[in-house]
Amino acid sequence: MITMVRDLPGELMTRTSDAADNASSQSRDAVVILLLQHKSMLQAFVFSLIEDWVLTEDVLQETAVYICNHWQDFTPGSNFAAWARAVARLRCHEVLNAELRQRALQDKVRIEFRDAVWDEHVDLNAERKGALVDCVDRLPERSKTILLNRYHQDRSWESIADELEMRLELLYLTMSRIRHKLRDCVERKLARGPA
Amino acid sequence: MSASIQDEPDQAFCILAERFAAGTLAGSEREEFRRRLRQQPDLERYVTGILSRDAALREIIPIIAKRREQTVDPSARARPLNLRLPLAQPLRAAGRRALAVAAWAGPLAAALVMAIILVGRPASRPSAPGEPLAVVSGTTLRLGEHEARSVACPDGSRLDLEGGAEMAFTEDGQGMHIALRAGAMVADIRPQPAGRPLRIAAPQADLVVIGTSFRVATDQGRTRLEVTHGSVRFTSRSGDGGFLVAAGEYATAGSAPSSLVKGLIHGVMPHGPPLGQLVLAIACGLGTSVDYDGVHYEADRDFAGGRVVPWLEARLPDNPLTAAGRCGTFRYAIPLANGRYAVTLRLHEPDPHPAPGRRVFSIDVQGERWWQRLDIAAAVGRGPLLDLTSVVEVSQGTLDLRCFAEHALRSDDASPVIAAIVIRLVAP
Repeated sequence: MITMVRDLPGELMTRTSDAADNASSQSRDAVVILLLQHKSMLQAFVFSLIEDWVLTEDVLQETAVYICNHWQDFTPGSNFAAWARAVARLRCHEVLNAELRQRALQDKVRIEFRDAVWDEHVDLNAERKGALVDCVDRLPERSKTILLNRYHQDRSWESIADELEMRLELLYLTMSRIRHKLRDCVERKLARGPA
Repeated sequence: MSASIQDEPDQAFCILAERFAAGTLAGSEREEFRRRLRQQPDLERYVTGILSRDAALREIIPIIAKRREQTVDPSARARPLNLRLPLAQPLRAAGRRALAVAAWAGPLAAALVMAIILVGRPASRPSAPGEPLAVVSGTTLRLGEHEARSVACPDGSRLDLEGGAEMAFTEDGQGMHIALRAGAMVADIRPQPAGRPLRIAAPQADLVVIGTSFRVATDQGRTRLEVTHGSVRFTSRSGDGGFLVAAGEYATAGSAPSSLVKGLIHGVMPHGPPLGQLVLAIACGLGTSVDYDGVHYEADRDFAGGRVVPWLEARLPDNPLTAAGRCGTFRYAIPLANGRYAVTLRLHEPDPHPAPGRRVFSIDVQGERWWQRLDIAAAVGRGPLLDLTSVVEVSQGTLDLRCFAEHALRSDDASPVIAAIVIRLVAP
């Protein structure tokens, strides 16, 4: 199999044989499903370390490839999120060293959030995704326009603010408000149960 | 999505967090962001929640966009599902991606197909998403609490009705008329013909619109207008008069007389959550405490300089804050625990015959000139209150406010005046 991911150093590559034996009983698909289940959290985690969504996509892809190739390293029943974050963190450090140096950004003070905070996150399962889609549908058209511009057309906040003739700060507040509405709407829908 | 619902932080932090999520925090903002996180570790949950939701939206929105395209073009339904990876792919890594994807796309695709099928069920609304409802004269709409609807007026103006909104639309030789009976809407109004402005009747206020963007909401016995672009004339229905509300300003009117207020915000617009927990309210110039609009105002305190001026003629019948004020060149040094506060200065023009340009003054907050060339008469005339809100950092135990006249003081007519101060805690 061809892979462009370099082997990650250290602890991740030296699992005990017991762990490897246990992991071998775990199907690769199950690990992939775990990866899907934690994707949003992982993506958010990577972004929090490198603060660049394009680089985040790179790191996440390569983290995913690594996990798919080394699924036997995961001990069933252990904390998949923590393991995946450890893989992603090592990859982040490589990217930061390589790319941020080129962009003279290495003096940027990094902000790291506590692991316990990440562990509290519940990723999108199918039910939450369905609820989120419904909730986005119920937003006013102007809010949907903002979301589509940002997350489908990948436009910058500045250009969206220009087009909507809004001050950038106001657009940020509007976005904050949209997130708040979506969060409340999803929680309400899930609390009500299936329609 | 986070499983728990956390309270929203203050607007300033919301903006910092959005900028962080956009990857555009500048140096001093980054320091401020870090300082806030150190002070309030709970904010970490808020920020990581934003990042997770951002990641979720990056996944969900392209799926919704795809569904919208398919709804608009029914022939597209026959096309196979586009198994786009959940992550957008930068071109520079495309070749490497192709190889990388091959390593894990198989099992992922099976799971992803399941996810897309589950997500892609049709919306409950029968009309095509994204298509606003065209209204004609006589149309009445009443939305459910969790519904939202976009409406297109005959001239192309657009109204985004929020949940629970109720409105009626009519058009005649005088122009378009909207009666907003309940709820809220964001409006983007095209320039109206000369002499035929759009008129909006809300329960507590009337709006005259030439062409602009704004949000109007009616809730808890108040009508509130927030203008984002252009200007709107806002007139109280309880006989308090009215004024022009410009971009970045807001206005509120209640059902009771003397409840008309115009508001200016230092820095950000008043969208979003309330500005924090009430800490202290002072009725400037009053020797006793009073209650007004659900807030308990203490008797005047912590001032130096100026004098008390009873406003016999200018007093509004139902507003005790307008019985007197502090006038002249004066200062307030209010002891407060260190933290971040939303400070609202409530101004009232006491002159029974106010003239714009006569009483022009400035206010320093914590030693900085935050409000310059204030002219109450020009902003609201006589009667309504003018609220000025600033988010202020108190780091040495004192909130410092100073009022200065812009012109040499010859009489009380030109002196700075202040009716009340309201302080809310945004963040400790």
